[in-house]
Amino acid sequence: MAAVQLENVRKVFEGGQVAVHGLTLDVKEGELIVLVGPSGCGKSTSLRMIAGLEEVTEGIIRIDGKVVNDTPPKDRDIAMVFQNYALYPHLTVYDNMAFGLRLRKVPRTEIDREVRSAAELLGIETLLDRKPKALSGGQRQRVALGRAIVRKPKVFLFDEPLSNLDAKLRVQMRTEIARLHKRLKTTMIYVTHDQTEAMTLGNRIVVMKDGHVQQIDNPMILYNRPTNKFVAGFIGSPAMNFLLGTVDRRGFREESGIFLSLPPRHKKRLTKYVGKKVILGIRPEDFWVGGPRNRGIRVQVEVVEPMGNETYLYFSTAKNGAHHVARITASETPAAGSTVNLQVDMTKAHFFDPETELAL
Amino acid sequence: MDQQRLTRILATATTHILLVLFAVFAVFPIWQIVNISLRPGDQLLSSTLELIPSNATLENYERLFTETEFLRWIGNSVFVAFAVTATGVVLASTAGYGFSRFRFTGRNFGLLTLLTTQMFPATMLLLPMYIMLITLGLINTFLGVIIVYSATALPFCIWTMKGYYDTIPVSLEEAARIDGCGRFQAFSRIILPLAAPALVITALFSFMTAWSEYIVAAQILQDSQLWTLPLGLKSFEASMSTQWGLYGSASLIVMVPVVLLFLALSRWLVSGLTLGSVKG
Repeated sequence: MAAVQLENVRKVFEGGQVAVHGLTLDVKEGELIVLVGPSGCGKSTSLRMIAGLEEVTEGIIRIDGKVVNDTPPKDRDIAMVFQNYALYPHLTVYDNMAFGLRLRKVPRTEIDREVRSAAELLGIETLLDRKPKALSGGQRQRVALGRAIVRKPKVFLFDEPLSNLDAKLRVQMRTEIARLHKRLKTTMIYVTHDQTEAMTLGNRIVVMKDGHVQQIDNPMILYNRPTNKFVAGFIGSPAMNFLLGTVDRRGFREESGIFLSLPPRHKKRLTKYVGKKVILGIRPEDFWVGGPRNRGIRVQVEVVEPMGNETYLYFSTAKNGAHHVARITASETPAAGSTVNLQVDMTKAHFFDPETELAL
Repeated sequence: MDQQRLTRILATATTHILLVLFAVFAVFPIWQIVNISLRPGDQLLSSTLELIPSNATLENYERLFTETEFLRWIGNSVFVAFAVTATGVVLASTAGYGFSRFRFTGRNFGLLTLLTTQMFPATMLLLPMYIMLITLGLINTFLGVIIVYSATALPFCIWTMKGYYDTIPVSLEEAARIDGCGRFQAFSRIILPLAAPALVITALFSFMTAWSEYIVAAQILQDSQLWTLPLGLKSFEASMSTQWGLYGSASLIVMVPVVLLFLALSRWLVSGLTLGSVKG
């Protein structure tokens, strides 16, 4: 177990492309931190720099207090689980798991004990004699986890480990990783583009975009108090709805004419924005069907997606054609094409500056 | 019989006739050489269509081993071929890895130059190579032929190895480096075993280049003590008469190691060893 610190870490690839701009991060001992963001945001590059697979252009990386910028991967005492499993195809599951220990000249009996105990923990003890090609995707990922576990590293690194699994297996493995973290209490740095994985696994989440950190916080703070429009839109599924409009003394008026009155708390906060443009953010679950016609918004439902326990309604506001989604209880489900009255819980509304996109 | 069925039968028949013809073309020379090697005396031509001549004898084989320097030529050829194979495998596996995994100045130029060298016929390079070897004092030495053969075989082998490494996911090496390997260890313990099919092709190609080559050997190896098999075989041909019996039997024996090598290495030629290592 070890802390990992990144101080102003920058990565510039050949050709001048900047992948990571000055990342500063303090991963505490035993923490599971998730780096999340869309493709090309620099999350994997950051992880690979921690692993020693990419050189650091500028800045300092410390593992367990020791600067590791020039330490080769093998001497960093880390283990990494790759998206494509990266199992050695010519070795059996047992040999794959024992590989790292053999290189470290661990006695044979100890290797055997560690491999079997990790295999038991992951439920792969019957697969030890098989070659990777004879395993399913889920089994391969378990072996990859096992290979990481047996080494008892100071830090576990995960590079989108569940991306190649089907939806059901992904949920299952996600729970297993969470359980594993609880049991091993080892520092884990986990990279994913899937915000659900990030929300469910992370003690803290680092949201990244274009090589810049957008926000570092625990999942609920990220969800409830995003610092900017990007974080607000990235965290949460379905994504937050954004409406561009103007604030007046009574409320928010969207460009198409939709008017939503503001609760006192927001009125006070938006005083200096009266007469100015702002972006209103509404989470899909903050809509509900019904209420008085003179309040809320009247929309025509374009698509209805029943999920069983809830329903997603897709609609657009007439003028700018922006598409929105509301998440309502299944019993309120209207027919596609019908016009409904949607109420908005404005106490939970978010506001962003259209220029800086920062939360107001 | 409907038209469609007739067309299908005709197509199948044509294919089979063509295949049989090609097979005859491939097998006939071998049968002919077997036949010649078993004939008494030095009869090249025979009007009989017997598969094995009625007066078949192993006399030519006996003479080959007792009256000629055949064993020495085998030894020389084996030595040269193995030296070229070892050089080819060691240099092509490492150079191919460099070209596949690293981006450096001159990489593309290097690859293209290697390819370009393959476009010149070997005979065209004979004279400059000869002059070079004279300067280096390598005429009439095994080292001379080994260098020339290796230089001839390497470009193809490097390209083969590079192409194969390109198909092996980099993440395997990265996993090995995190598991505790240095760069070279990751290469030798993980990548090289996975590149076995390409290594086999490299080895076979290098071996064949050296084993059956005549023109270069004839220029460089002048001392009969140093002759390789093709030179020895040629010596059965004299201006007045050719010892076809010896020639036939020697040709067959020369073929054996190559056939055995192919058979022994054939299971490695099956590619797709990386299956299952990564997603899928």
